Amino acid sequence: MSKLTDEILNRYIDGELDPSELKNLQNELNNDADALARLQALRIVDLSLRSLEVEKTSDVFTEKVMKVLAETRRVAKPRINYFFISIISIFSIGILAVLVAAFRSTENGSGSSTLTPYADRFRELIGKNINSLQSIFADPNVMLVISVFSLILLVTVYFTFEAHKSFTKKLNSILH
Amino acid sequence: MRNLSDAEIIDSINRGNVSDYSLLVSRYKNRAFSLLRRLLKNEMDAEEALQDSFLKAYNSLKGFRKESQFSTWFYRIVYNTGLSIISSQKRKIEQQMSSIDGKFDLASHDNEVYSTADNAQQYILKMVDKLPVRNALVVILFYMDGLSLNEISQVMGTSLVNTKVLLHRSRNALKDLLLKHNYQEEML
Repeated sequence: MSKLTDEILNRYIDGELDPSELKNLQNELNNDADALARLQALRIVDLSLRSLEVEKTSDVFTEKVMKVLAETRRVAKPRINYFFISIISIFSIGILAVLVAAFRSTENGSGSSTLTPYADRFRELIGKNINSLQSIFADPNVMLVISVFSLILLVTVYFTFEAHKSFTKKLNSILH
Repeated sequence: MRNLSDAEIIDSINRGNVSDYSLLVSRYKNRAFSLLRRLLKNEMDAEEALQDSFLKAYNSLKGFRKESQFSTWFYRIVYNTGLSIISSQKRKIEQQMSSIDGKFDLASHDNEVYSTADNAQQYILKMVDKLPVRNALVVILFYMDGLSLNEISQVMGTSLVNTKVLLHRSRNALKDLLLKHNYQEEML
């Protein structure tokens, strides 16, 4: 049986034999016609495989990928709800303006500001109702009902938000 | 204009030059397509999987660590995309892939290929398509893409030893067929 196994011949093809193994291979090949034939066949296989041709995909493939990529990026871009932002901004500015006006009117004290009558009326209104409000909230049953309602509201908001999120996710997976 | 390296292109993309990704697509599309065509045995599936692979690679580009070559990293995505398509098509993946230890027989394809091949080289190249998928992939990645055995083992998630076994077995099977037809004497 030949000493030159296919393993050794493959390692020779890959240039993995050390000098002493190479010398041994040369000696063996001189007396082993079968191993020589196997080595020649392996060399042909190796040379032929080096000529493996790359197959070409369609000419427009790159453009196609870039187009899909652009669409994906456009869809993935977070949409800003300008309507919501503007409403919030108007409210914030309004509240800020009222606070500034109230602050200035109390600072001046003299009633020189045109806003003072409104501020006084507002204070009067709060003052009148504050006692009745306090008595309502002092009742533990009322507090319990309010707490339960708050909890239900929070849970409902949470589940609505989650349902909306999963719906959007499903929609996106269908679209893409 | 000099050719940009993969790392330079990736840096440019990460800086916001998304259009530079087309350079990577153009550079790797044909080689990856060759791989997928042999894995999926169908041009349309291969092109679809290729597009999917490029999109996945783009989305993960920020997480790409430059410790390894882009090619190795990308081929791993390509390989896994191909495998998931095979499994989604409910083909028998075990049969398609064959185990590392599993022996294969090319003899059943021999007559068909031998009768249509004009010479040894043509015969071998045609026979590559008849190799079990994993063997064919190792051959392609080694010879066509010039990946080292170590890189191939990273792409395919196999050990270095098993990758070498796959390459040697593939070459030995082709060598045995050449000997059977005495092609080695014709070439001398």
